[in-house]
Amino acid sequence: MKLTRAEQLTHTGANLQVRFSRVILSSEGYSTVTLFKEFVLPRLVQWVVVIVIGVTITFMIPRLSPVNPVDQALGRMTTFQTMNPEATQALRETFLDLYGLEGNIFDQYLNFWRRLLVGDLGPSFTSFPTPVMQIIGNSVGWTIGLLGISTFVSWLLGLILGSLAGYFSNHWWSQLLEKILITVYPIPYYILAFVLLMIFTYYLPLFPLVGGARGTPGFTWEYIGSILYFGFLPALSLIIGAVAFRFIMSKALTTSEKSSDYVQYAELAALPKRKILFSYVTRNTMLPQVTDLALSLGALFEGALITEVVFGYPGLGYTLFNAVNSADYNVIMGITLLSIVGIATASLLVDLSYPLFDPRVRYR
Amino acid sequence: MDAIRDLFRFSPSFRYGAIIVTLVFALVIISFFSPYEPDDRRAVARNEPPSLQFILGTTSQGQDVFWMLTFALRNTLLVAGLAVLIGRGVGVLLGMVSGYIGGTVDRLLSSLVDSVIVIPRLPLLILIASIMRGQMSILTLGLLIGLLDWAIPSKRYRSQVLSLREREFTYTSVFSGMSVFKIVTQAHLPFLIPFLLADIVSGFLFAIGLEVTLSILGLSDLDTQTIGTQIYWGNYYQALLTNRVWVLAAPIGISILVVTGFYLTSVGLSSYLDPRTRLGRLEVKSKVNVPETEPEVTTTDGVTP
Amino acid sequence: MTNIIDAVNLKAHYVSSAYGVERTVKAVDNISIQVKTGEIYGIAGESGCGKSTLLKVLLGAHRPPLTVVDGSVKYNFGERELDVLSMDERTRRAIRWKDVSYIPQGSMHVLNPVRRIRNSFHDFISAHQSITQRDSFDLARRYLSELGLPETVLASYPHQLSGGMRQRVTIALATILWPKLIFADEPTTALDVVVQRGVIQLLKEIQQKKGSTMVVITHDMGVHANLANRIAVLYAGKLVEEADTHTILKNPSHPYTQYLIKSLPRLDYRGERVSIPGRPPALDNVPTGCPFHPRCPFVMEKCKTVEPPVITFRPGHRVACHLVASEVSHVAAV
Repeated sequence: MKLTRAEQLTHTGANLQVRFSRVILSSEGYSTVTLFKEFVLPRLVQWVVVIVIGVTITFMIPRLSPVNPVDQALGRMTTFQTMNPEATQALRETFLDLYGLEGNIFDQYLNFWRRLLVGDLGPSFTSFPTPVMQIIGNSVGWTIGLLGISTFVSWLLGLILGSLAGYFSNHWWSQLLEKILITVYPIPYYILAFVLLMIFTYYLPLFPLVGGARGTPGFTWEYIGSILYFGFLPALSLIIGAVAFRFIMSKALTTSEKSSDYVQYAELAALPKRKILFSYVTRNTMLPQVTDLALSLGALFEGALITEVVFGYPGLGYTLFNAVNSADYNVIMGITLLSIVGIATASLLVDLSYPLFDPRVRYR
Repeated sequence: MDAIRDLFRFSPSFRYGAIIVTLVFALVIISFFSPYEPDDRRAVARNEPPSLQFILGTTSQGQDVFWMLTFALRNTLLVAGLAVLIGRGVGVLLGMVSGYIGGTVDRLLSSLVDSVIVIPRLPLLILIASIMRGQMSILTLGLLIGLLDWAIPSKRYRSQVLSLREREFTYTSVFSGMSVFKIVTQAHLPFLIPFLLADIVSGFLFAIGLEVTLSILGLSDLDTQTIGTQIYWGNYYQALLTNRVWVLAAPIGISILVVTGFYLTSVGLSSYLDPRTRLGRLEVKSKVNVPETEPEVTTTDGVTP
Repeated sequence: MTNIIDAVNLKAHYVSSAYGVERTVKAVDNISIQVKTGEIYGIAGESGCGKSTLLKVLLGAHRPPLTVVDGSVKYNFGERELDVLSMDERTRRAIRWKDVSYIPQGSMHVLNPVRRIRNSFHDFISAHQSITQRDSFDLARRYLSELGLPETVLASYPHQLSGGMRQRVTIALATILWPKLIFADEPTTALDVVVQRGVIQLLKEIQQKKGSTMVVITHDMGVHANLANRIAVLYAGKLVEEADTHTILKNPSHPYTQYLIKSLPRLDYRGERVSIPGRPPALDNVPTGCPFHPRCPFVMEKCKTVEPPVITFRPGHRVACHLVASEVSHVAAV
């Protein structure tokens, strides 16, 4: 508690000042301990719970299926060649071990976690013995880049456009924009990506059909330029879809925020419109949208996966697609696990950034 | 009903949406009168571009695109319908239990739901579908999609129930001795139903999107015609590269039409049902327009992959 | 003494069009008032009687669906006269906060929750004069201490302050540029009694220091009793009585005002308090004739069909009532 100011005020007179300053200065800031306890901790716990549930579900799914992947794999191997029974048996054991199907279910579960925590996702099946982790590692960067940029741009753009449209809802451009984006919004990411692909690589060959970049990797302008070139359409596809959603939400929030007391008061006091829009309205509508971003990351990620498949962009989605086609279950499992952990973590981080924006949570 | 007539007249989104939806359902009904079976190959001449005889052209397998499309629509909507039934069924139940019982049960269920929401559904679905490859029927697909989409709806129903509980008319009902069952069914349900309608449409959107996505990846029942499988087969037989774009354009166009139609309808509906505009039916005259956006802004599940 | 506000035959309606159905709410129905420079003018009446709408119109802050269908409002700041209703946007912005200001009700949410108080002060000040941030912080600091408010609120966020403190900060915010005319809308509602007193004191102080004119709108007669020089009583969008505070409190003429005063609690009176039977009419369905006639204990046949005009039946005392009018004519006749 800061008493110095209050003491000063006492000297200048008026009892009122001292009395009131004590009342309102109960805490100049939320102590970091309370912030941690009330805000950070529950979210950390949630994060752990999400991962545990997600991992468990992923663990259970192959084991619940009527199809035994080992038999399937064996079947495939023996289609084209005959093997003696011992070899088949040895192979079977190898597969069981590879798929983590050795032992009873609890052992399997524990093993599963054990390997997960050291980052061992097993070997790829089709590119045996390349570890899944390596395959994923090669593609993760592309996806993160694509997703990161698209998320950032779409969130910002959608927020700004939505705020403008919501505040100036009578203007013709606001209504036009809304009509366009409302039509775009329900279209699934795949369709968006495919339409863009058709138009800009096929009919108007402006962009490449597949690939992530051209040339040798390195910090050269050429290489980076090619990354931008190849990544443009996929990013655009994602951004269009995500902006539509963000726009609609932002516009709705702005429209309702427009009529709140402090905005009306600021308008009455003839504050410049630009200031009201940014420092008053948008600054406040931003808050629920940060929380919402944490929740939307999953959907954006899924969009990215599909978009990569369409454009042949060498990220997780493309890898996943190939794995599906070649029945490389380890890779599929690996990507699923990574998705769960990745999204949960990203979501946590976004959530944790919320106090930076909202002083009501930062200070009590 | 008066409401429908009002909606038609005053809400452009509902109007266009309803027209599109009616068209879609008309096509579905037509599918029952198709001259060809959906699986018939070589029923007609191959690779014909759209003409008077074949409205949308034919495929390389000798199938009439238009009639295939009607089947595709039927099946996709079937899958989506099943998914919505299951998803919303579980969602409503959970939401209501959580909302009415409250207390620790509510808290536990809510944390469970909150955890599940973050988990990305597509990878899981892909995992399941790839394991069950070759054994997937559209019914199974519908079931799966439904099982993945109850979390967010349950949250919404829970909040609806919570707000209904606190309303005055609930208190009066309780005080006047109405049984809980009666309160729920006679007083609350009528309020929930309009909300349910708008929510169901959103569920359809998600399910359709997911079906299309999954089929395109080749993970659903490829022998049944759905919008997604049409696109898959179109790609498989390389419609784009062999200059037979109509084979792909048709299902893509229809999918856009269907989702847009459903969405516009739901926008019109929710605007109309918004309590702020419902009581008194005020639409402001002169300069200010009542914005026709979704008043209750929902989160992720509208963003379909 | 000049009239700083001159409102004549003001009619303001909310016109709305339902999904086909039209509705008109006559919130301000033919009101004429003059506010003298330097006085504290109180407007009293129950909720839903049109006080807030009147305020909006007097401020020139009305927006669709609220439309002024008739009448005029003029400000007279000595050197210049302004027609409020036909002001252009530039003039409106020029006079806000510098000449005319507004203290809102519901201090809960009138301050931007994500902005520190001092930044809000800077926003409001810099909108009307060019000033650096440091200078506006200085100005705010000095003004707050002049009003007896702790400087430390400046660094806080609104949610860290108590309701009473927030209301007082809002008052400071509204009056920092020493406007000549200040409108206050329910400045003490939702505050506890001790804080109310503080607020009333503050308002009085501000008015005394710079001789500003205040128009205070509240249903709380106690506030008017402590603050206002003159009181106007509104009912169903119409002016029913207007006189100086003392007269209204001790000698109300209109039956509605009489009821209002009678229903005030008094420390020395422990008898049964009367409340007016019935409820105030909805403004889209006002009774014919005198709007108070369904609840008036002295209702006459005439009251049901003919609307009583506002007459000045004593110097400085206006009333709209057939009963009073007939008594006056009796007296005059006699």
